[in-house]
Formats: sequence, C-alpha cells, structure tokens
Amino acid sequence: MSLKRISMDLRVRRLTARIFALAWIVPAAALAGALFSNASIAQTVTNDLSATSSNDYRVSGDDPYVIFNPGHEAENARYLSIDLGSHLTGVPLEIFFNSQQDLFNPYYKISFTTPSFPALLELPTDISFSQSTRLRLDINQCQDCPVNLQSLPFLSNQVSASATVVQPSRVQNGVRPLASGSSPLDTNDWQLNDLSGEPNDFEISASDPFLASPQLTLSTQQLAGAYFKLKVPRSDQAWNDYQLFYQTERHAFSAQASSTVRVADSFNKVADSFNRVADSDNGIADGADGVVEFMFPLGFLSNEQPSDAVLERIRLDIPEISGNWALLEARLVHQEQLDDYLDMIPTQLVEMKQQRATGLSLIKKSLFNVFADIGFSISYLLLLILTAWLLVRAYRSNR
Amino acid sequence: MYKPMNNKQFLITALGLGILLRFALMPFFAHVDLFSEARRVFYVLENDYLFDNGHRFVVFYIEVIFAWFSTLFIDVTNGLFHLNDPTQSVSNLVDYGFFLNDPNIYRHLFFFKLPYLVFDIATALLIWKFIDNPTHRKIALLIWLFNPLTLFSTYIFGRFEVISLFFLMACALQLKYDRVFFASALFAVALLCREINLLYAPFLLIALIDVKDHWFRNVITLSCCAAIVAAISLLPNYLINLAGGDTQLFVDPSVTQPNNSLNALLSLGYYWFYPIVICLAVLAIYQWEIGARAKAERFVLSASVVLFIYFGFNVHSVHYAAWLVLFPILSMQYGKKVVLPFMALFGVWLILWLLKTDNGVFTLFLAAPLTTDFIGMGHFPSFFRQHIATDTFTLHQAIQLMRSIFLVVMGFFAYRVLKNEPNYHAKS
Repeated sequence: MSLKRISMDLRVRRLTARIFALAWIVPAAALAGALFSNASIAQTVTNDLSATSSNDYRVSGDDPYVIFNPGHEAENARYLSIDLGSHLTGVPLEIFFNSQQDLFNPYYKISFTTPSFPALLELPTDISFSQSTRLRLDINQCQDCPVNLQSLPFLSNQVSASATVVQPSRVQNGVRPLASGSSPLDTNDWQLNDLSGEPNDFEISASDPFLASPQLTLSTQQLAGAYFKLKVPRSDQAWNDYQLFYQTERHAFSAQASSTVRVADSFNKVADSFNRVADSDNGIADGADGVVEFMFPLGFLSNEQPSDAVLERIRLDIPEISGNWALLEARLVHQEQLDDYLDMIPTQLVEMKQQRATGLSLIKKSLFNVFADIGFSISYLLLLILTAWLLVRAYRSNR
Repeated sequence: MYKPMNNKQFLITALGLGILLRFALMPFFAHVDLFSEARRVFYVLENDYLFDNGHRFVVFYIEVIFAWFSTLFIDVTNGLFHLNDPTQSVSNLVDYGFFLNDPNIYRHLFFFKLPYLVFDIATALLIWKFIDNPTHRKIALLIWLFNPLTLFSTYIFGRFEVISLFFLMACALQLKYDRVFFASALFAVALLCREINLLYAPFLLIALIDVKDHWFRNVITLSCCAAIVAAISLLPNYLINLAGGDTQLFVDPSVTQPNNSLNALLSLGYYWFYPIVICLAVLAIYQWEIGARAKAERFVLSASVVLFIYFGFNVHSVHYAAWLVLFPILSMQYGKKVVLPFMALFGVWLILWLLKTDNGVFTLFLAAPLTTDFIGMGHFPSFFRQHIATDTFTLHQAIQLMRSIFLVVMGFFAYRVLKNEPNYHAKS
C-alpha cells in the first residue's frame, strides 16, 4: 500500500470519525436538552405546606398538596411506595393522576388511607403510571400536620416486610357525562334507611327515613337537577319537607350540602294547588291523590364557586308519614330538559350550599332575583321616582 | 345667587331623602326575627284569632293591619307563613330559607316594614315640632333620619322599635304642652309596644310632680296618671281573658321561665343588677332636685340617662341600641350638646358589633333576601382571629375593651345631658 493511499485512508477515517462523532453528539445534545427541559417541568411543587426544615413541612392551609413525578424504580409498577411520616397515618389521602401543565382533572384520582408508613399503595390494573406522569398527593382533614417529604412517592414492584400494602378506598378513572336524553335512574339497588320494604313499596320504620342512590359518579357539567316522583300516604300535616343530600368529590352527605323543599300534602286540595303540577299532557305529572313530584335544582354545583365536578351519590330524606310509600321515579335532569321540569321546582325551596356566587356574579344574581318579580320591580322603581318627584315639587313650591 | 333653604324646604328635603333611603333598604334586608314575627301575624290573620295574643299588643295589631293590607297585593296562601303549632313560631334557618327563596319576598319585606316607615317618619315630624330652636331642630332631624342605629334596627335588621319610640315621642310632646293625662295614656300605649319602657315609669311619675302646685293637687294628678297608665296597659290582657281569648297564644310552654323575672325583663346579667338599681335611684334623686324645671325637660333628661345607665351595664341585642337615639335628641331642646356623643356612639356601636356578632346579627347574612349566597360569607370575628388577634390580645379582650369604651361613651352622653347649660337657662 503506497504512502499516499495510506494518508488518504487516514483522512477518510478521520472524516468518517468526525461524521460519526457528530451523528452521536447531535442526538445526545438533543436528548440532553429534552431531559433538561423535562427536568424543569418535573420540579416538585407544594401548596399550603410550609417548610420547617429541609425535608420537613407542616400543613399551613386548607388545600395542602404536593405535585411530583414518581421515581422510576420499576416499569409497569404495581405499587406506589409512600412514606410521609407517622403523623399522616389514618389521614385521608388522594392521588390525582391526570393533568395538563399541573392542572389536575378531578375525575381521575385514587383515595386511600394508610395505618402506617412506609406504605405501598396498590395501583388498579387499569391505571398505569410512568416516571413522567405528574402526580398530585392531597392531604385531607389534617390541620397543622407535620409532613415528611424526604422520600417522594415512587413506583415499585417490591413488597417488603417493613411496608404496609394499602388498597385504595376509592378509584375514580374518569367520569360519565350526563346524557341529554337521560332515562330515569334504576332505583332497585337504592339503599333504604329506617324504611322497610323495597323502593317501589316501603313503609317508615324509624326516625331517620331516607333513600340513597348507589355510586353515580356523574359529571355535574350539564346537570340541572334531581327529579323525584313518589307515592305518599295521607299526612296529617298540610305541608311536608323533603330534603336532598348530594355527595360530590369534595364532600360526603352533609346538611351543609343539601336542599329542602316544602310540598303540600296531595290529599289537601287547598294546599295542593300550590304543588307545581305540570300539565298532564306531557306525561310527567298526574297530580293524583297520594302522588307528589318535585325537582331540586343542582345547576349551581358546576356554575358557582367552589364548584363540584362530580356527583357521587344523592339521598332523599322523606317526612315521617306512616303508610305505604313508593319511589315511582328518580331522574337526573339534563340542562336541555330543564324547561320541561321548571314547573316541578317547588316555590318553597331552601338550598344549603357550599358553593356560592362571588364578586360580579353575586351582584348579577342579586339583581336577577330582584328583577325576577317584575311586578314588584316596576312598582318599586315607580315609587322611588314618584317620591323624588314629590320631593322636588314640594321643595320648589315652598320657595 | 345662592339662596339658603328655608325651614320648610329643609324639612321637605331631609324627609324626602330620608324616605328614599328607607325605601332603598326596606325590601332587601332582614333578620330571621322579622320572619318569626310575620309568621305570628299571618297566623292570626289566617285563623281569625284577632282577639288573642296580649303580647306587645299595640305593635302586633299595627303589624296585623298592615299585613292584611299587604294581602291585597300578595298571595299568602302558599303555606309560606303556615304554622303547625303557634307556640313554635320562632323560625329556624330552614323555615327562614323558604322565606328567602319565596318569589314574593321583596313585597313581603316592603309591606311588613311599611308601618315602621310610617311611625319613623311620624316621629321625625314630632321631633321637628318638639324642638323650638331652628338650628337645633335641624340637627335633631338629621340625626333622627340618618343615624345608623335606627336605620339598621328598623330597615336592615327589621324590628319594630320605632313604633314604641313614636309613642314615647308623643308622650314627651304632650308633656311639653302640660297635657299630663294624654302623656300618661301615650306612655301606656308605649308600654304595650315594649315592656322595657317600664324603666321610664318612675321617672315619668316624678316628672309629673309640680313643685309649685299644692301637694294635694299633685297627689290627685299622680294618682290619675298612674291609674291611666295601669288601666290602658293592663286592659288588653284583661279584655282578651274576659272574651275567652288565649293571651299565651305564641308562648312556648317548654321554655322555662327564669326565676328572676325582673332580671329577665331588664335583660340583665346578675352582677350588674345592683349597680343599675343604685344608679337609677341616684337619678331619681337628681330628678327630684331639678323639680323647678319644666315637666317635659325633667322627663326627657332622666329618660336619656336611664338608657345610658341601662346600656352602660347590660348585655343587649344589636337593635336595642335604637332606643338610645330618641331622648338624647330631644334633650337638644334644652340646649344639650349631644352631637359629639352621638358620633362617638355610632363609631363604638359599629366596632363593638363587628367584633361581637355571630353569623347572623351584624353580617352579610342580613342581605340574604337578595341572594342566599350572602349566608355564611364569613364575619368580622373570624377575620379578627385570623389577622389581628395575638396570644395576648384575643377577640374576647377586644370585645371587653369595646364594651368598656361603650360604657365610657354612655358616661360622656350622661355628662353632656346632665351638664347645666347656662346659656340655655339664661335665655329661658
């Protein structure tokens, strides 16, 4: 081999090596850039947790949570290993796992409590996390609790003797939207409390009678209200109260999240004329003796603040009237059906809400309420104008 | 060229603006107590129990008349005011919630407060008539029409204090003209509006004594006046019983009557009972000592100080403060300089109740007729606890501090009312 050829060979090799080197460096740099950018997203975020030392925090507000990426110890992991310190044993915890830019969807969450730490939360088979999944761990009902974040939760397949395996108390993997032409709820599997019999034929047996639905897990987005039609025995009271409790992702059944309607006894014709019974042509109401029907508005669940995104369950408390009852129909009313059910909203209605309008919407709502009674509004404005006019007139005539 | 208002123009302007302000408040604010009262009134109308209920007889039947009038404009047969048991007429929050959500709520509130407006404006006119000095009467009228205490009590909280105050005002006016029997009759009517007016009774009787008159004539006058007061104030209950009516119609039998009924009448904490009795006795002596002055002056001055003593020492509801306004205003007729104490009273009352309120007394809860979203919007005590209170300066201490300052303001008022105004008596 000539010297010239060898020299040529070396140059080609160097060039090739440079090309190869470049071929590695560019993707490596791109990968590093990507990793760097992921690293900036993957920062741990805390809310309502104030640091007491480098890894120790204390709950300092109403909404304590930490957002993090789970460590990547295992692919297709079965567990999420969690160790937050002994003070959070027995505290309700929630993992939210569906987010866009750290805004978490309330429809996707795993709820659990653990009797001790470290704990291995068993992940449902239809939910899988990767190391890039952003997770949010919420700490509920624990004011001023110390929280240790030395080791952030990580994915694991290892079951160790020192860690307690914990089952989720509840898994929510999405939510069903309310269909516009929704059919009545199946009431056969409703829970009866202090009632004997079945939902379609029951009697009151003790002092706290109610019917409660099973888990519904429905979006409140298009929800207008809950409609009920009941066969009710004759009452010795002219008016009776029915109370609806609604359980959402934010709260269990509570008097502070309930609505009450006062409905006339259907046998009492004078009072019953004030039951808003719809036209019998629409097939909804028959206004017969012993049948009452009403709708509880629930549109505020998604419209007002703080909003409730998921309707978990509903419960209807009924008055203590002895005799034979029947739940003839229960229905969640879609916004598009609202016009058909507006007449079913009793005039006597109390809403104990956790939601409320604020700021401008509060002013708008107040004005809307005032102007809803158009006869009053016009008379009232005329009265103000008349008073002002009389004032000016009297003032001028006494110069 | 600028021409100042004459007296009549001033009166018209002040009354007009006062009425407009009251109209603006009437339909949109209320406390649960108003609804409880409305339930009792409509229960009587609904069941034709027109000759029962001897409690606060005059106020109640004035409200019944206006409520009947309101039924010409509002349908009340939808069970909103229905009472299964009249002894349980005090409304709970659920019942009140039904009222708040009633489509006719603004009409109900407007009409229910209408008698209050009538008596309130009538009181303003009598104040105008009572005070002779043109400047003083203007100031007095402005204080009456635009003071936050009666505006709050009557049109925001929604209670009937002004009706009772009107009859006390009319009583004072009759005394000014030496019509002692009319004054006694009007005082008795005031007693049928609010039992607390009994506090004034001894001072009214002392004021009726004319030291220049023969003692026998004084005895006859006093006896007649006392008889008029007793007869008119006891007559309704007597007649209702005679007619077989139920004077205990709305009285809850399950509520145990307190043993010390005088304490209960005066809403007094036990420890303050004796200081109040001592102060009132001293006041009676003072009133005796100024016996040469006009009857109305003696009554107005002592009635003012009675309230300063009462409010200085007792625990009272927020709307009771409205009682404090009338007699000190009338004392301006006698040259008393009470504007500054009034300003101090308004300020200290506002701060005290911001601190002392529960969820429904001095909060946005009272605006719930506009929208129930105002309920539970938070109140100042929780804000104070979160942002102002320290371990050494708690909410309780702040309340006690303001109560002490309230007592000082009452003392300031008493000083200004009792202080001899040499210029006034020289002019007289």
